[in-house]
Amino acid sequence: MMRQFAYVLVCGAALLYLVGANARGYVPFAGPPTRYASSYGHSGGGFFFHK
Amino acid sequence: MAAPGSAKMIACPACGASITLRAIGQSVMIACPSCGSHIDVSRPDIQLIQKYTLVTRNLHIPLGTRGTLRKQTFEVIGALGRSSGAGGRWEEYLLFNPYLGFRWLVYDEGHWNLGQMIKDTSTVHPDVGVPYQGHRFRKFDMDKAVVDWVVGEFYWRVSTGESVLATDYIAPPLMLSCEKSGQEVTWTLLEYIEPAEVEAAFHNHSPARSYLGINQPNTAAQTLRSVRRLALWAIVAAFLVQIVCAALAKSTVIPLGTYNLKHKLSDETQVYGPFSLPRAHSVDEVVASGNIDNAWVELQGTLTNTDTGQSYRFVNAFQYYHGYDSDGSWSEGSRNGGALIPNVPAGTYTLLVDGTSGDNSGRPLDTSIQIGLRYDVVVWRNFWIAVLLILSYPIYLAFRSGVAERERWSDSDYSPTGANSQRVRR
Repeated sequence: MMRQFAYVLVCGAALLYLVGANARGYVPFAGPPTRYASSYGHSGGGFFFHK
Repeated sequence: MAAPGSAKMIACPACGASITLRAIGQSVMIACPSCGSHIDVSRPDIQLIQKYTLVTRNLHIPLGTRGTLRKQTFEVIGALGRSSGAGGRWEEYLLFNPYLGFRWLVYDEGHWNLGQMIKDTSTVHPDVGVPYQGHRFRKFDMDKAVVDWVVGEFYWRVSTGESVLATDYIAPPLMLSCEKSGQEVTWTLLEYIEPAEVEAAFHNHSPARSYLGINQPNTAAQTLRSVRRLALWAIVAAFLVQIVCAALAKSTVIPLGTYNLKHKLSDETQVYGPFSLPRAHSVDEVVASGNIDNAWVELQGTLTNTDTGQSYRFVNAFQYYHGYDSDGSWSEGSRNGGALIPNVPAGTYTLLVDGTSGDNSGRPLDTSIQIGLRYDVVVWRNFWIAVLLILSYPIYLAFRSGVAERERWSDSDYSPTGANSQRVRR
């Protein structure tokens, strides 16, 4: 019973987080990427899609 | 005839010790607690069946102990020790209540089961998947069970060395046990009992459990069943919150102009705006697109509040490559990109952009990029974080439940996964 109650609190916290994050304009992991010009370019066969 | 619940004293024909006969008229044999000799008590003239010189046993519950289990009072009148071909050993205590009859209390390395013989076995067919009392039982093991020792009285003639073919079927916390001896088949329905419940009833002490019992309830699975509906509702609620937030958000693109990638200086800043962002705490996205071909573009800059001077950095990079190889044509990347800027206060802003680019040869592109600002967007990663938070406990419980079931079935020859570590026990 205690565990269920604790889980209700966790679910409530998750919903509060969602409401609060959307209201406050919070975006997790939104920092600018640290990339440099030399890192751009074709991957050479790694991650691309064949048509 | 003796009244129900009364006892009778008899003398052991082998050692002369006084023996209390508790289930008068129902017990057919008794094993002397002093010397272990088997005595026939089915007739008025008590006779010795087999003489033993037994070493005194330390029973987990002494004979004659009375206790209230599941709101019914029982007295321990007999006990026998059994072992299986696999080397497991367990104890079975015969409980008696003159009005309710006999029950079995089975002890196996810290685990207890309360059992009752099934009289009407016409509906007991677990081997072919027929549910019994609404439960679908699964075959767990089948082995020879041998009686190692006997003490106290019994309603049938049991003797040391007697063996049966025992088959167990489980539907935790229940277990169906089938014992075959020649043409005789007996079924017993057992229910797992927490050791604390047995200890409270008979004031005994049993060693701690070191593994999950054959039919011990999987507490993680039980908790998972109790929270999964809540988890589902919480996810539905989170989805509705997200949909409402997305519906209320403006999510409109403010076109800001073009950025020419071909410039003489290595960095060439261009300023767009001013433009107004009226909502407090908005999430905005700098969007860019251009007709690039086997090339990359990186736009760096700041969104600056013209009143306060507060600025927000962003990097918007995208690349698009395509070609042919032995598998056919391929492509990677995209001709447009976006960079999110979180928690932007209301105000008037300008956007400063520095752009660099390169083609396969490393030369800057001779093209223009369309720049815009998508204002007041709702990102879904907050929703997924909330879902992850909601599901973390059910996922943990599912993992724990899976580990427990693997441990349980590792002892079985009939494991659904085929795994079998054959720990030595019943």
